[in-house]
Amino acid sequence: MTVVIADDVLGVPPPPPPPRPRVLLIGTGFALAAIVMAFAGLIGLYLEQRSAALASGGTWLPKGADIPLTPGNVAMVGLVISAFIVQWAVYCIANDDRPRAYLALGLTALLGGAYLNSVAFYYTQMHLTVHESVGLLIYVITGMHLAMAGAGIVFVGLMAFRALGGQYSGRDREGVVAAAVYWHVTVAVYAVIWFTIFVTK
Amino acid sequence: MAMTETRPEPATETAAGAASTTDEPLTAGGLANLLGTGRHASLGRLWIGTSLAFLVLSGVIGLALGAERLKPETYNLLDRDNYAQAFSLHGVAAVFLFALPLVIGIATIVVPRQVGASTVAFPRAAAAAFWTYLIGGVLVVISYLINGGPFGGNDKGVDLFLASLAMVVVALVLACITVATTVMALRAPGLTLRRVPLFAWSILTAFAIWIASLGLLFGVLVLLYVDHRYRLFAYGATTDIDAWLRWTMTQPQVYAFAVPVLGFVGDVVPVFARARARMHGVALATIGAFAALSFGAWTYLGAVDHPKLTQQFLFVAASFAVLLPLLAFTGGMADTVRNGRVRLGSPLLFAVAALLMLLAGVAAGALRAVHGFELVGTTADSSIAHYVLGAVAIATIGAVHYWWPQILTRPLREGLARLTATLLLLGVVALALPDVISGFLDEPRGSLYTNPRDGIALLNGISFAGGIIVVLAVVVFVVNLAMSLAGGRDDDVDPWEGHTLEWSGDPSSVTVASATPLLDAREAATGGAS
Repeated sequence: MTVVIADDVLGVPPPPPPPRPRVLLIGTGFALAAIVMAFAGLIGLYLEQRSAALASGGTWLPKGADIPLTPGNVAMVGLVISAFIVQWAVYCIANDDRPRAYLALGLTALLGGAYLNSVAFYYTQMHLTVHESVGLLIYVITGMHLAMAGAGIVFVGLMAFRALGGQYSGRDREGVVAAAVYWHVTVAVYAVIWFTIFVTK
Repeated sequence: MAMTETRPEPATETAAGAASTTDEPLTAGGLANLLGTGRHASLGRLWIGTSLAFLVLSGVIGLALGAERLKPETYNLLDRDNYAQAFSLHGVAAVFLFALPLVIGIATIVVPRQVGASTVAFPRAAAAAFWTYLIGGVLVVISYLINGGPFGGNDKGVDLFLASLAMVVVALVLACITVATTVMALRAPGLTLRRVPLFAWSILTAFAIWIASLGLLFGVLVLLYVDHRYRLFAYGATTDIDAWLRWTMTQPQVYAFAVPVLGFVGDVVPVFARARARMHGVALATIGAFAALSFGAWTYLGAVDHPKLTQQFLFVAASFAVLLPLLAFTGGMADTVRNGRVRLGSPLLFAVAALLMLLAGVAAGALRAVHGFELVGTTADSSIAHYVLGAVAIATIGAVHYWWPQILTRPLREGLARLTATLLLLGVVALALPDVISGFLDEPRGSLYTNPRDGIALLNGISFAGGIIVVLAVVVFVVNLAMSLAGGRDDDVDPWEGHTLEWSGDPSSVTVASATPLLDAREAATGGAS
């Protein structure tokens, strides 16, 4: 069957040119919605449990446990810097400055790796175990964020290799933008974790 | 008169996989092709077939539970633990292994065609989602068989349940992302969001809600898994796992699973009323409002830490507010029918039956929210789920009958189809309505009623009979399906004189100028008479 579009008959104007699909960017947005909700649920539970413990006159962290702020601050600063750098990568690819785009994407992945290392170090300093409810919740939340950051490093790395293959340019930078958006949300989620768990304890 | 316009090839992901993902018949090496397929039609059929198999499982368990309730004061077929496990599996299979996957299957086939896309976005991810769902679903069932799952006595079985259900949830989210992205990014030129068919719109809004709520559920499952894996049980032993899942099976979240019912009804009614849909924008808005009000992830803590959540103003207000868009949508459909010349067809029967069941379910939910009735924790909970998931089952089975050129390429027998619709309507009413009344008589949900009040046995008997009728309807549907598949292929692409793009021969090569491009074309060709 041939589709007949009655634009002349109906007197409607000719259609606009087809928009460039933004498949990867939109798909990334949906995936981030699911990820953010996973953290929202866990952090909501964390706050609820802590509030209940403090309201009953008890303490939240178990005896002997400590959450030193310095490693968390260092990780936070590193991730904030990486957020600026990944945006620099978007700027560079938009301006067809490919060498600097490669450099920015590489630096983002490097700072992501440094974040993973800093959290691993953090775990050795907290004296919390997974065998108590507070430790369990903190390890699940931060562990899931480690997984998110790890996936972000893979995403950024993949886009960097695609860019190296000549796939992205000023006209089409969707993949790099999608990776940057993912990374920004990763940093934002860590900022919430940093404040609710590490700062306010 | 402008004729079909050819669109440029879509860029990025879809172009890369286009050769293997367009809807062409499977060729030689059938099994290898099936396992490696990224064709949206093949994947959709796999989702549909697998989810129907899980429907049979859930239905059989439901019948066993119904038989157990014939003498509600004692355990006859099952013991206490088995009853609780069977009740849990019945719910998990109905929601996560049947209802959601069946909607995803139909959406995977129909929605790309409705929006004029040659394939689904991220076809390889869509394939990965199906196989992950299949493996995860089988593992969920195995976990119950080895005495795992909620209320299970085998710790490793419980671990397996939590991990495999998380796997299923990830698969569902991934599948939702592929279809929702298709609607957002791969629409035909001129097909703005305000012009998309109601089914595609309902899928977009529903999947957005599902993605968010299932994302939260995934986080909870990870926590429960780690908690149980290290045997800490800080967030509940096996008996409490069911409570963490309960928000997904009751109001308002269960309504979110029925949002596509409205899309199906909204697409079918104008076609069978032989009339242009009235107030398309209002229909879009009411579906969107219903989806937004059905978002229930915010109640996830309620089952465990806040038993009084159902008495809070927000919960009560949302339970009543969700009725408004549903009633407005129903009014719009009635107006379309009033202005048309109705012809009877099985899809219309399915659509009317599904809408009635959804209305009944949401009305029962509003009753449940009235604190004075004290229906929370009674069989009224099950009744709402049966009404709403019954509506989903009726609409999805109706969708297979309506969109048979896309889904089956072979017609179904109209007489058997009407019998299926009628049996489903009668069965769901008989299954769910007595449970509302039993709820008023204090029969508890998910356990036996040790001191039953007068009439409970009769009500439970009617409910059991309803379950049998539903199973009978599914058997008739499967027989009809088997007869259809055994028959010859029918190349009629538009048997109902549809209004939207999926009824054109090649919807991926058009430019559209309205919400009903085929109806416009037909009216233009006949000088205005549809």
